[in-house]
Amino acid sequence: MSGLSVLFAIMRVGYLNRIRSYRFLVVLVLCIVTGYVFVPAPGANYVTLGWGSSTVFYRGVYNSAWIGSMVALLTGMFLALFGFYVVNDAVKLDETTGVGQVIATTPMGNHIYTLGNALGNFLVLGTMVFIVFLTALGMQLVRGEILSVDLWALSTPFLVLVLPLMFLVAAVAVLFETVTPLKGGVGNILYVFMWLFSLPLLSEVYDLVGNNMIISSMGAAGEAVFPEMRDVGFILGYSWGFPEGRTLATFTWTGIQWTFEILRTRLVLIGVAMGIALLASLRFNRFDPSSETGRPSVSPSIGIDVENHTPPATPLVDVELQPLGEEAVSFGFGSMLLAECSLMLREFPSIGSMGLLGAAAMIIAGIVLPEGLTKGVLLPVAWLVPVLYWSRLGTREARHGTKQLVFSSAGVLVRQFWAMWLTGVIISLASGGGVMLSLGMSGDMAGLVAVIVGALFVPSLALFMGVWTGSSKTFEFLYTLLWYIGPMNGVMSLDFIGVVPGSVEAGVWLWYLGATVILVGLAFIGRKLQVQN
Amino acid sequence: MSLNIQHVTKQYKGNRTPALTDFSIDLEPGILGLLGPNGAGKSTLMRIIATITKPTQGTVLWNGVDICKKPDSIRKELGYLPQDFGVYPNLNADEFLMYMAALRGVDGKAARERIDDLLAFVNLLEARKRPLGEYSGGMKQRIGIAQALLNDPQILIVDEPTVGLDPEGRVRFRHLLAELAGDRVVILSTHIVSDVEAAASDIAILNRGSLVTRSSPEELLRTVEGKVWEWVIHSDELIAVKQKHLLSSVIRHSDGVHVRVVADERPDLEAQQGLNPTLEEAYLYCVSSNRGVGMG
Repeated sequence: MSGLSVLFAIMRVGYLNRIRSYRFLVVLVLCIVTGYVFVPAPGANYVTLGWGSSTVFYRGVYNSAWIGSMVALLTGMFLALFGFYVVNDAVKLDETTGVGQVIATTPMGNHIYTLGNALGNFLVLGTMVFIVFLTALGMQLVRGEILSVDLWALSTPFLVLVLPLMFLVAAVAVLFETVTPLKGGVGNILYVFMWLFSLPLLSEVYDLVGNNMIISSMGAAGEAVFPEMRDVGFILGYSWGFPEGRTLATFTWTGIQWTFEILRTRLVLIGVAMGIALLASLRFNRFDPSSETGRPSVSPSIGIDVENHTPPATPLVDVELQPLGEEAVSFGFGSMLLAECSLMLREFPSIGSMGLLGAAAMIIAGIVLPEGLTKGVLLPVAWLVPVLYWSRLGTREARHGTKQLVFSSAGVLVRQFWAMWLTGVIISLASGGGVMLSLGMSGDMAGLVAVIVGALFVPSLALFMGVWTGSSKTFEFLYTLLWYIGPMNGVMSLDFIGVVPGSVEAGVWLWYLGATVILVGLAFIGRKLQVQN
Repeated sequence: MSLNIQHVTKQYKGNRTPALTDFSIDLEPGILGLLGPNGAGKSTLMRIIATITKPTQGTVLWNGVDICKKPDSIRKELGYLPQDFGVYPNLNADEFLMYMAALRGVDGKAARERIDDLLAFVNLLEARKRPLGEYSGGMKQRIGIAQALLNDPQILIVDEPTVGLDPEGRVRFRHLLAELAGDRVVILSTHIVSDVEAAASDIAILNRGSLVTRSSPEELLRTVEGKVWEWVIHSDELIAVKQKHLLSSVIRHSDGVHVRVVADERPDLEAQQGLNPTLEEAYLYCVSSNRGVGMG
């Protein structure tokens, strides 16, 4: 079998594995919804691309060129983030199913494997882009400002701008899966920051999404009709609220000339993506668990050299199992909580007791540091550090295949569910306890209540997402995003811990208290469905 | 103590054929050996009894209580070893068993003492502080056995329990099952007929989701009395014999191939009635003909 055939086979299997799942169907529905909301109706209470002053909002008329480019830009930006989490499990799937052990014994080169998976990822993302493109086509007809469809103008922004970017995302996903420290939760969180910072930081050097060239072309067309647009800021992305009395002004933009220079820059992106996929091959361990730092996560029966790990045969000891008295079985809640806490602490053996020391340091820092520093810096940091612990809530049984053992136990819903939730809250208290003490000592009771609500909200969100998705990554990336945009960037409505000035007074915490109750309720329902399947 | 399974059918979504069809059986203390080919519905039956999944139709009563409506009634007294199960790789045997003990309602000192005994029983005392992620398949299976016995269950369900165990471990486990069976219900599912032969007082054979027969090992053996035949063939004839008859044994000797066949009629003029029919032959006969004890 030639290398090309193997490459094709890996790409095909990687693609089929992902698209033949219920999850992908949900993703495609989300793509359609996203494509729909990317093209707001004239009377909608939000805008996605245009130039807005308090009195006039300028945008292009909804022809194929405008809709194609607008939806392509927004798709590029959003899928560069969300798409990563859709595809970053190709290598993991081979690892957890044990197929990787078989793959490793074939003559296939590492570069073929990583490149094949990057291409498989790309096809998955490409399918999503195609669905958004079809939605964009439909939206031009639905909005009906210009009914004649120019397929070239509509499709080329997707082809030239979005697809190369998706290939880059696909390759980065493979790289994150092959570089050990970036695997799993750490990579999931790190990627959010990469996305947040790389787009603005790179924009001066390289137009990653293509927004600079498109928006300047659109702006030039608009300014030719409305010269005053020069003094108005442009909007790209969701911007909520359309001021009362603001009028809509439209101009015609016929699209961009796809020059050789533009194509060349996009080819560079493809080249970089290829390079990243090949770079991943250098770190690919061919599913050898002994090359991992820490303990192997694969089934030892297939991944470990049994000869080296089975203890020398020891003579069997005569044991007579005594009956347990009735008093020995009590189904106490305390022992369940203790067991859950113990399990949580051992999630990351490499951190070990350092985690407890870190929590103690946080508490001391909360008491010692001045209030401004405590609330403004320590509190948001304390709410990011335990993400990987929270994200395990509700996912362990699915991840480690212990569902049958756990769910056949009595009182799973009454004891284990609440013990698990309480463990998450204890982690919040351990991490943010210092700040809470500081707020309490300074008499800021309203602030203290808001922080306590945050301590309840975060594990509830984690448990809800863990139970319903069976995976920790949804919480890891959505929570990191929420943490960054809310508490760190001062968006009051997303401030779930009451650090943004005015948010406590505005009663934002009340919303999060309500959300906590709903999330716990939904998590409980989800767990009930799992247990009573 | 009784387990009554009444007209249970289980249809999985997307599958045309039910995994179990109108299955009924009543159990009292003792060991029931469940035998059947792959896909016969054994694991589905055990998952239903273990309250992992619910039947599409029918009821399962544990001491008269419907476990579909009140699953905790059986869960409190259940020990369960699934065929495929995972462990938490970062925990050692002690920690994992303490966690499972908490889930099974066994607390504190009683749990620790029980774990000591069980680890000694499954011969993992020396490895008790090693992370489970480093365990071999057989060691993991032994941890599975230990967790199933943590709460001294009144009903023990074990699916392929001896897979990965060494011969000594297998024998010891069979003895344990025999000891436990005195005053509790034990359901043992396996492909290894000798395990059932050694431990079970009662055998149920499933095929294509239905109960083919339920009988004692002795009764089952009687179904093949006079139906096992032996003769010597040339190796060229082996394929034809395989296609035509239900072959239970093939042994090559210098004088040719000694075959053993289960058949109602004499399969060949040279065939002689075989001595000592085995349980495996009785099982093959029942499954191939879908005939049980007393069905002729």
